[in-house]
Amino acid sequence: MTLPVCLLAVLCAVTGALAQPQSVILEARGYRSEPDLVVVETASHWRAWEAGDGTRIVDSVGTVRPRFIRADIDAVANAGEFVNVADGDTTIGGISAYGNRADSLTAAFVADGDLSTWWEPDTENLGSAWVEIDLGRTVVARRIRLRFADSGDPFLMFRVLVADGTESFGRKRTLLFQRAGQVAAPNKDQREFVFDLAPRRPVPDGIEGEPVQFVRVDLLGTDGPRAEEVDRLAYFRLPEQDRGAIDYFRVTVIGREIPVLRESYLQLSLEQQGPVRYYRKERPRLAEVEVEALGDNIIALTQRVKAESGDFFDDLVRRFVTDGLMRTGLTVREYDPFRDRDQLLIDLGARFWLERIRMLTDRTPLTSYQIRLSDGSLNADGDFEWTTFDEKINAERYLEVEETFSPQPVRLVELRRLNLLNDARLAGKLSEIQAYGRGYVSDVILTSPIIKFDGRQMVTAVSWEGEAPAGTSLEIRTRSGDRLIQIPHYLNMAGREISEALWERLPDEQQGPIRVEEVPDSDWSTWSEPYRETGRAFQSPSPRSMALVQARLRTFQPLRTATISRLTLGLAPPLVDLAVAEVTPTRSIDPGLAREFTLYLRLERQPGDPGFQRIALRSSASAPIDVTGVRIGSDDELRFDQAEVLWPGSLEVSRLDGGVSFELPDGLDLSGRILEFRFSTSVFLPSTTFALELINDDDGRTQQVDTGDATSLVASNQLVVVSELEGLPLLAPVEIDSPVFTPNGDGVRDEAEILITLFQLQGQRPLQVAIHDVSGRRIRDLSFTPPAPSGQHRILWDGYDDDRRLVVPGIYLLRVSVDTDAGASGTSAVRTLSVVY
Amino acid sequence: MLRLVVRGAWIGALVAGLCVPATTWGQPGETGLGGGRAQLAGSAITPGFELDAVRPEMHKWYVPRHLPVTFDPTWYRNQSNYAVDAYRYYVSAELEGLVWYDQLGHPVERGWLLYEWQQEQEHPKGSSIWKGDEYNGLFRSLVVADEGGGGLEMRLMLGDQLETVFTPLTFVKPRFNGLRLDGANDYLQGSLILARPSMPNRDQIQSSALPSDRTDFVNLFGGHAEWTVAPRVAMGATYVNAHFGNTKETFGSGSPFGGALMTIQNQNLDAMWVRLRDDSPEDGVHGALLFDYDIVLVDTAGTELRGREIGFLPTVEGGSARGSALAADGSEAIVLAWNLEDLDADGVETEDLRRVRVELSVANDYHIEATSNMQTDGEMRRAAPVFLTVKRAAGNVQDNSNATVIAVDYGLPTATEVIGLDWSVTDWHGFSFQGELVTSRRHRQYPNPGIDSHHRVVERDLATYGQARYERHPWELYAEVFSIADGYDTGTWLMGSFGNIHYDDFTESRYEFVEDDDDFNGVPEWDRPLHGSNDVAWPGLDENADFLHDHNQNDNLIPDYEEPFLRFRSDRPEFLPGMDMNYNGTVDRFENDNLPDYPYRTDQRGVNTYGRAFLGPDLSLTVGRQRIAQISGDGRTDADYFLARWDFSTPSLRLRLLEHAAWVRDDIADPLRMWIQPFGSAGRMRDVGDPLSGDDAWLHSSYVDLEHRLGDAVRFEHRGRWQLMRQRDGDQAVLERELRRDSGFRGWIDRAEWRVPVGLSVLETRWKSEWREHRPPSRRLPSGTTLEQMAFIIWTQPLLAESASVAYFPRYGRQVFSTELQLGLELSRLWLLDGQLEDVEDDYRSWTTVAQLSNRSAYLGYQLVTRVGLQIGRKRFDDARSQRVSAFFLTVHAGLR
Repeated sequence: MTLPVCLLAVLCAVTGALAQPQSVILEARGYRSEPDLVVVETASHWRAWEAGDGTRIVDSVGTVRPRFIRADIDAVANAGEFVNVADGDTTIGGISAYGNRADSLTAAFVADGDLSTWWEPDTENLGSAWVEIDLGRTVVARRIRLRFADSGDPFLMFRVLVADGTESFGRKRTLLFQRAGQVAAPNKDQREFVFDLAPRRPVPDGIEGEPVQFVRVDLLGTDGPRAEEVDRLAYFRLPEQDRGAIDYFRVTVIGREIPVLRESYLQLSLEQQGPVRYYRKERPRLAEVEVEALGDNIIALTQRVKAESGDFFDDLVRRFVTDGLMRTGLTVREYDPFRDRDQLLIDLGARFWLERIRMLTDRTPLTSYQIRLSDGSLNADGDFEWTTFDEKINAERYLEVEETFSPQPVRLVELRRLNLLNDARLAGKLSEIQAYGRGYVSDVILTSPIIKFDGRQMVTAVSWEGEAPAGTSLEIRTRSGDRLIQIPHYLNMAGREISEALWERLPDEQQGPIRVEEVPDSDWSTWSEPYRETGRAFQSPSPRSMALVQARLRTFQPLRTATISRLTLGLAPPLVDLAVAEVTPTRSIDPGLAREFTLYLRLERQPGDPGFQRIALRSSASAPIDVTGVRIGSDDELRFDQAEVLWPGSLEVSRLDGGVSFELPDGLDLSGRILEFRFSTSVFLPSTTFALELINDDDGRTQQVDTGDATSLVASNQLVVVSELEGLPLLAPVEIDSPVFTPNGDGVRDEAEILITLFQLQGQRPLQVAIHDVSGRRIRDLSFTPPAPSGQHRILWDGYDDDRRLVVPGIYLLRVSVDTDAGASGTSAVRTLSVVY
Repeated sequence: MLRLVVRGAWIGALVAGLCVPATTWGQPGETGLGGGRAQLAGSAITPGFELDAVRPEMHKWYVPRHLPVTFDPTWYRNQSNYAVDAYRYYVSAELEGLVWYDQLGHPVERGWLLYEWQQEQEHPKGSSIWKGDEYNGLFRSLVVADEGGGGLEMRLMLGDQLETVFTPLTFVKPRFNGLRLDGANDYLQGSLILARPSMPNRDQIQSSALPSDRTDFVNLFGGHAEWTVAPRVAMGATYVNAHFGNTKETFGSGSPFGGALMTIQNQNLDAMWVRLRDDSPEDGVHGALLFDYDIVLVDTAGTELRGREIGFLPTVEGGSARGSALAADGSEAIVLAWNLEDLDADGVETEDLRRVRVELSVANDYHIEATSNMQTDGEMRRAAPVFLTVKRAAGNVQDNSNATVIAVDYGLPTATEVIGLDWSVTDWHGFSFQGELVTSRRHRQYPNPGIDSHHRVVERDLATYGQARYERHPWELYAEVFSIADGYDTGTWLMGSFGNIHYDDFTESRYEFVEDDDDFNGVPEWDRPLHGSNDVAWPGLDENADFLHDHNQNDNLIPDYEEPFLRFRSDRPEFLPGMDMNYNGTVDRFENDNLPDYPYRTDQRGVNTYGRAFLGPDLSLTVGRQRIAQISGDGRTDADYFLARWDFSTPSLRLRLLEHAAWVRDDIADPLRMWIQPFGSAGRMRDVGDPLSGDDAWLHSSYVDLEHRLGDAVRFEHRGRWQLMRQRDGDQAVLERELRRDSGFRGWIDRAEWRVPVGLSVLETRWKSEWREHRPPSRRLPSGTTLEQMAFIIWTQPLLAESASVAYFPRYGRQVFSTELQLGLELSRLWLLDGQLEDVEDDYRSWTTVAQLSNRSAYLGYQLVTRVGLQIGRKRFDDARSQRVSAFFLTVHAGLR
């Protein structure tokens, strides 16, 4: 057992979870397996699901929601979320330094968001009475607020310094602080101070705030033991630690009061003894430091993880300008419009509601640039659809520039550095590009790790718990399969992927680990249609040994969001171990004509399989299935006509909606034998899918039959048949059962029966059917919109016109037409009808 | 001598060229009979030699040196004595060039090898083009030979920048690099062209001592013939072919029409991908539907295997299930990936494949693309596959009515052919007609290095147009119809240095038969390797053909209409009139794009008709209708328009009126790449999108200008333009599209000039008033109105008039003295009446003064113009800001006046 696993086991024992060690190990995979259930519910489960960096929030109880991008934030509050790796050191946002080692624990109270806790510096040594807060990233701060604890004193005199992270030159590199505010007059009462941060560097009008990463508070003055004079009684009522100085005074003959030592005071005569003054000790307590910033910088939130994982070695510029740190930056290459390259493209990984892009640098800024935004939509050429802002010139060389716009969902941000002022050698450095907005991430896709069942299992249902209020949606999709492709990734010591050949040439000590990536193989299904309701039957092929689940949280309004907290896959053992089928013929099917198909089903059962009683055969075509025969036997028995005939015979056949059902006779031995179904049906669509289901009536479970090699008699390996519809008219010749009819109510030929056959059309498509008289006037409109246009449609004309009057005897014209998007030919027909009495 | 050299080869070369690569090109130099150093043998049948040298002696011997032939020193020394035979000033015989021989061993001429194109098979680097120093230097990359007789005139041209135009749909190259032969008699004329587009000018980037040898090459040949069927009736035919070749292949392999696979591409495929996506992703729904798919493998023995039957299935990524089909809507894509490397079925492996076909049962708005591991971005490491379009659905079908089975017969490109017919009838009883019908054929072949005969696939797309005009005064009728398929393509790929093609780089890897030269300056606007190009183009804005933008004649960073003094004569381009018949907000004659210069855009078909009535010599009225539809989508441009034009003039007055009104329904985007000249920065090309403001709108555009005089000294000019686009959609629809209900431009300019001679001096007073209102269609862009009043005073004082020569300066019509002192003052006041404009921030007033001393004098046959002076100016904004500018200048120009 490896050390981490041992530690995990110990942890489990402590938490009482050791009783289910297997499930604990699976927790890290993003789900928990039970015998008949796969459950996703804890925060650790959801965190293991793949999603764009910084796009989701998983709370402690395991509810997932899109991240809410905030405006006007307190940058201190979440400083601890930011981890930086630089110069071989890893730093986490929070208290980064303090003057007095004794403050190592209490200094953190100024950044904990709790006004009831505080940092109280040692007033004996003012030189070390300071604390420094690292915000973890560079924020654009508008103001800094200091709150002093009500239970203590405010600082008598202090100052607030800020630094954007840039350091001095030289061997000993120190942060370059600027003073943001100072209280130089003794302050005894004010407990809240707000210092506005105006831009100190050249910026255009309208730009507010100052880049800040570090905030330092220095205590400059204190009254020490004489914070406040109290009377004697009150003094001695004070706790020992709050009792300050006691001053003794001698009174001169002219009334002057001279402080003396207590021993001297006691030796004075009563006339000389002056007052004794008692003081409360000063307790300077800083409760909170708040940095009010523009908001969450979406670029830093979404790009930092990539930067830290080392994927950006090949693009240092992008790494440096998106890492959220002002101290890093590089010159951006000039955009090449001829070849459309050398632009800085940032993929946020999801759609965020953005309203502002800001660019910061410490020197030699971009003098001209252009910003483009895209929500990830494509145009017909396969390129992203962009919102392009005007080219901007920064002739004044402002160190901060900004592009503001109305809130819009954005996934891609592109910066083009232009050279409109012909100063390529003097400009172009960028320290940070930041993006701000407000609202929930508009589209978050969570993809599960590969969920591995205990062998092949039937997934009975997909259920979830979540909320999708109006203006949002929650969609679940699934796919399943049996095989995986394992792709090895060879890493060097730095964790960077290298080729296998290079990895093998490295000395053993320089070889990094081999990370094996598992991806679905070709037997996996595609993603299912979205599950709109919880508890729906599994839409992907089943039984399978593995599955993937995708949850999509979408919002169409920035302030609303969907959430998901629990998801389960119901499992059940398969009815039979293996069930594969194939159909023939699969090609060159004449549309609209009854065609005989043969479908082979091969089953393999294992001891203990529950088995089934019925088989359902369905077709995606609208025409009925007419069974012509069912046999069972081996390949050879079927080939040489020696197979056992089940129908007509012991098998019971009944009609289903969209198919037929076969009830198997009791005691029929299926294992290792092949069922042959012969049936005829018509197809009207380019492709028609036949589906077989095994049904266990005892518990109502249904197992879908897979496509595969069921018999050596045919080699189709599929259940999809393809029609040759190309070149055929979509509308078959219109048939009229009784073109001469007598609508006189005698029960004989009272109606004309019109048979209309349409091919390949789908969707809501109105069928124009009208009766015209010989002058061309329409007298009866029989148009209708069938639910499925393709197929055969029967219409009756009773000889009445639209005004419910019986038409006069004569010849009438029947016009049938259907509009198609493709403007296909052969979509209209005219026939004649005769009405006689 | 040049003439002889060229004549000796060109007919044979041309005839042989049509059979490329089936023959050997040109005539070899160093490999010719006798080599380069042989001398002419006079009348001898064989090369002469010294009979005396044939002696039975063992020591080494040398043929006596013939000094008159060459003075090249030899490594040995012979004793020499010039006491009897006087030593003379011998010059190098190579000054007259070397002796060259033809393929038959006959001496061609003593001279220089200017150009040699060889293609030897079968061995590597068999295709080479040599361009000698004399070709590039002395002959400036152009040689011309001619021949004639019997009514036939012929001319052969070999050059790097030959203007070559066949027809608008087939071949238009202002700088064709290759060889061209023209011939004509009374009723027939034709042209033949030959070229090797791949590295035709390698000598320009490497040492000229190195020929541009290539194993893989692209050869181009073609021709255009025109037959005058009857007076005013002509028929033409065009054929152009560019094909890949590979000199490692045998002489008989490949085809001059279908081409051959290049070395690096003729490898077994390891993987193949087919991608389906929504052809109209902007609607987000009803994209591609995939019902079924399968791969069909054909091995070299002709056996056909279906993937499903042998269990060779793709991995399928993307899309979502919809009934029995798989759907890709909006930005989704379905990717089918076959790993051919793993193929091992019935003994068939990827090395055994001769053909691979993917069958897709698809419907609705599909867009099918394919790629393989051999169709990449060309990177040597981590090459990324590049998808290229195979098929797109016509229209935006959503009801399955276009369901079909598409067979993607995979292959790599090997050739492009263009075959066309054209015709014209000129003024036959007032009727004129011209048109063109062209098919482009793209050849592809499936790679397999183990076989000689590769499976070939040909894709065809059609383009055609016809234009008819009937003129019978006062009436004129005109109609044009056109249809250019989306896949119509007149370009071929070019390989990189290593024979690889960067399929994702249309800039570096494409060779177009029809260039993009919207400004007609003979320089294509797209960057192509080793071909002259210039991204900068301002169609219609260089009407004086001086290669400078008409609105930046001094070629500085400031538009002339923003510069002091210059702005008196220069108006903003917004004031220029014209038709905008694709309704993208830009007058058509000023449009620049990044597309081949076909007469109509691809993926569109349509008709445009109008009738015009001339109500007098100066007045005409036009009524027309246009209907354009996208072929692969459901975009359309429908417009009914009216145009009135009146041009009235008298000796002292000229009035021009132009009125254009249209009812428009246009949702076809026509993005452009336009020249932008912002104030204070370098002008540059910029992508300009189409705001689609004409989706359902009224368009109105009026232009008027009036010029009149008071005597000879006072001139007035007034100019106005009003362009309005009014949306007809409902308020909500307009708001959602972020458009303004009414958008456009209104502007009016008044200008007056009074020139007063004062002795030899001249006083010029000028006044200009400009009022303009911009309302862009997009609400995102600011709108605003400004009024600016400008006054100018210029004093010109001749100096040293009595001692300097004088000349007439035709621009002013009076004497211009050699030395002049000019003083100028400009006063300006601008009011930002409302809103905001990109170039105006606030009201301001400004003044600028210039003092300039100029001199004109002759020097070495040139006329020198020397100017020295100082310009000072100040602009004071109403918000108390001010800007100061000053410039000292001293310039000398030399001209050929």
